[in-house]
Amino acid sequence: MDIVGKKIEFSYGSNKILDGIDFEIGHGKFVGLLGPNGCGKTTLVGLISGTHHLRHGEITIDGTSVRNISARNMAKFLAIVPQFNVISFPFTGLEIVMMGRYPFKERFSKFSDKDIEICLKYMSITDTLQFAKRPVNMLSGGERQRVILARALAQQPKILILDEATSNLDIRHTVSFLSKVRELGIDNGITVISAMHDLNLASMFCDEILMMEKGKILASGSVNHVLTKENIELVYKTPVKVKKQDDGKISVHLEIPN
Amino acid sequence: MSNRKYTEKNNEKCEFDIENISEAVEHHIRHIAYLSLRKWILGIGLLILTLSGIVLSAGIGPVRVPPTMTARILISHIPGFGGIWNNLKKENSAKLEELQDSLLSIQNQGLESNINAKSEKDVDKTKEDIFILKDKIRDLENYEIWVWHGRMPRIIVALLVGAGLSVSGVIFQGLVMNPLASSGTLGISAGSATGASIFIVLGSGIKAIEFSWGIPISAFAGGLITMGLVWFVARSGRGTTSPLSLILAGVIVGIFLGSLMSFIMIIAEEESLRALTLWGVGSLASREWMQVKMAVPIIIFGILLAIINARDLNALSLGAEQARNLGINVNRSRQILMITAAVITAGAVSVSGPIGFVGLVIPHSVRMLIGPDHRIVIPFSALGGGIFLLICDTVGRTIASPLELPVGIVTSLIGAPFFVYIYKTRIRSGAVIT
Repeated sequence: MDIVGKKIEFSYGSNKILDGIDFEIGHGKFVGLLGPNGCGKTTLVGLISGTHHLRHGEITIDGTSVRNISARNMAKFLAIVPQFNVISFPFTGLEIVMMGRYPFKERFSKFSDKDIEICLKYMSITDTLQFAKRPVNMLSGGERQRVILARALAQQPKILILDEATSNLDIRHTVSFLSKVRELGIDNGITVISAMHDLNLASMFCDEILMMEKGKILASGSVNHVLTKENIELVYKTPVKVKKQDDGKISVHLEIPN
Repeated sequence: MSNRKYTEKNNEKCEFDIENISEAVEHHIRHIAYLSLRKWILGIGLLILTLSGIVLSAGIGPVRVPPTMTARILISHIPGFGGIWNNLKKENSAKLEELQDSLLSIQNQGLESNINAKSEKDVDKTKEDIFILKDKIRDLENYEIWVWHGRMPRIIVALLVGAGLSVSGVIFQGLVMNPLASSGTLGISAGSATGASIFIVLGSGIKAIEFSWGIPISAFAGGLITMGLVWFVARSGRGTTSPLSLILAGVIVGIFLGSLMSFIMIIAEEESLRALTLWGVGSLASREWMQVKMAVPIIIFGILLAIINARDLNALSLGAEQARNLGINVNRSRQILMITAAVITAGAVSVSGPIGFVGLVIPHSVRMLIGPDHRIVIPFSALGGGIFLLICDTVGRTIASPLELPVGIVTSLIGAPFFVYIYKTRIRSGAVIT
């Protein structure tokens, strides 16, 4: 699904978070959302998903304004994995993942065997099958995050938003998860928006990158176009070396500032 | 394309075991079926426990009624089953008539053919039978009065209040995402208590206790007004209420109302002070059908509303953000659930006074038994809370008879150690919820 944003502004009280954002995300693209802490990444994905109320500007999904999409309908095609998740009650892993099927079920209808199969399939993808019967509040942060990832996939979304979703995962699960998402995305035409900090991961998995700074979009376009030494040093104020690898991908190396 | 190739290459290294998935699916389908069977068995068990609890409790007290009699009296009040008790009464009065007739005929015979030893013995025997039967009939009448008019209203109020306090506890805990919240945390029981206190003090001129609707209505109003106040304090500029701000607002309003109560007690006269103290500990003594009529519709309606919204509560207990992403209209669902819980609490407290620990102990125990899914937790808490309060109240009114312990004291005396026990076991088993 196409997502188009125009002249988006957003403030918390007098604190302006987003200051005139325009963007366009094409169907089935894997888009990285980069930028330093506090540049407005989470707010932007919150506005797209409807977690935050859009006041100024416009965001449309396949031509429909997000203002006119109910929470229930939104959940049928858009899933989001938040940066933080708190679970105070001892739901089991499977119970949490099954909640991803809520939008497709009426209040009192039972989960079918098909639903259970869908949920377990995505749990196996995020390597969380072994947590199916365990209370999630006893899992480690990264393990719980993988359960939430499975739930997002169980919604079988057309748009998947990852808000620093892999920040708690070890490299094996990070790489495995992102490559699985890429594969699912290509096969099923899922648009992925991933807010992230790891520039090398972004270069490995993204088709396009939106680079933000202080509530504005600084650069957007293909990975090689955006991830330049100049852009990175300008946004992150950190010296780097950018190298092109054999497969044409970019790798970013940090340098200790003098 | 190059990306795709990368993925494929990558998968060789990091693919997880999808081979076993059909086995896992089968296993979990079976496991879920087992869990659901277990829930049904536990639920039916709890229902049977509740019903037998009602029968036993209705028979215990200064006048003991055998369980078979209690059961008959109770069943006879179900429309269409009146015969089960009335027939017994009719049978006995028919037998009495018969005996009286035969006594008369024996006496007549005796008059005709002079009194002999045999008929004199018959007369005595029949007179004794009549005496025993009359006694029995009087007993039956007494039984009915004790069971149906004396104890039953109190039992129903206990079941309803226990169910209501537990369910509102479940809702508050889910809403503020904290298993230690209850109607006390959000100040709503304090609000009801304040409402009732103001009425008792202001109305002491007209003997507040005697105007029986006054206290429940003022307590109900006090609870609802307090909920509005807490909501207003917790509301942020953007019209949203976060769990933390709700707790904070509840605590602030609760402390304020506590001081207000102390102030009321200081200025209260001797007579109303006693009524205040009695009401303040939470008691079910001398509840009548009037209180039942007030509490039944409010609490049952509230619990049904809670069950309807139980799935939303599941999502909300993970926080507003996750709930929204699962398709829940967060603000609307929160408002509905908050009002539901407040109405249930106010309804319960208005007929019983503030009773502690029920809203904490029962939801906890239920979650330990059947997991945290609110669609199951709410009906189970309703049943469990009802039977718990009924047991506490029955213990309270019989253990030191004729002295009566208010049920609020008993719930805390039983509830606190019980709570410590389950909390400690949970810590040991590693499943502690914080």
